Amino acid sequence: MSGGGPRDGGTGGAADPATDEALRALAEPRRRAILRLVACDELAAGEIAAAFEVTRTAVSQHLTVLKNAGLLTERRDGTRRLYRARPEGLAGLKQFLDDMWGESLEVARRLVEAERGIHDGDRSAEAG
Amino acid sequence: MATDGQARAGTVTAMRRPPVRQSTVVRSDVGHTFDTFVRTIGAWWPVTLFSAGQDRVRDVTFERRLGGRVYETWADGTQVDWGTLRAWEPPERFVMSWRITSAATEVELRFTALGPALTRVAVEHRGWEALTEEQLAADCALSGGYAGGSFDRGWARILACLAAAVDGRPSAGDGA
Repeated sequence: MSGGGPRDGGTGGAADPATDEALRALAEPRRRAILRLVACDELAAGEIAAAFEVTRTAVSQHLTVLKNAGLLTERRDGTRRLYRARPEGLAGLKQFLDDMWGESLEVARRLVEAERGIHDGDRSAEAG
Repeated sequence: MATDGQARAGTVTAMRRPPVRQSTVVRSDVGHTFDTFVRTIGAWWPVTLFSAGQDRVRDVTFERRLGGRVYETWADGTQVDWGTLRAWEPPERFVMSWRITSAATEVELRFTALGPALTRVAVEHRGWEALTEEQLAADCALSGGYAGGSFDRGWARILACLAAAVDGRPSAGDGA
């Protein structure tokens, strides 16, 4: 049985809204670039804007999206706002990958066992 | 397995590097399990996010040899490569390079006989840490010219790959 026709909806998208929001936040190349910039160094909003040679206003919208998606932390230092990537925000993505492969293995497992006439409902009847 | 010795002093993020690992136990012998996984790859491989064709895929072909291609074929005959086999050792394991837009990672499937009708199947999805600086610089170029700077290997790269894949998903009227 080869791929063809719509796939089962189980892997049709992110497993939860938070991960979905993170993925959408990452869909914009400029936001990915911002995250890479602050993955290792905390930077002020002005420094981030300067790195891209754009205005503060242009970058602040991206910062807000990233912050709302849980991918960025903001801290105030006097009048400055400092940003760095938030590793916990990426935890959802790792979970997404774990779930993605977990689901794939489950689909494959059932295919193999079905060929042997075994179905999950039979588990309780297994002699072990 | 993957060491994190590359963490720089003073880095803000300290996430451990992937790989992604999952496993399951299948109630069949190892030979049949291996063979069925290969034969039905089009049905279970997690392509939804990353496939070029998605619902347009008519078939998936798996060339069963070292260096063999794995590719999807669309209804209109278009072929799109998923990757190539870097290891082919039936019924114990195979390794496939897997291109996710501009990045290539690697997926290993290992099949271990636990008994005459019981097989463990383990998947490891790795290679995120091996992405070259050039690939990331190319990604930066696409995003408007920012180049240089420091970025964390590991999750910064996985997020770049995932995000690029999200970005590359076909939308109405748009080719991959």
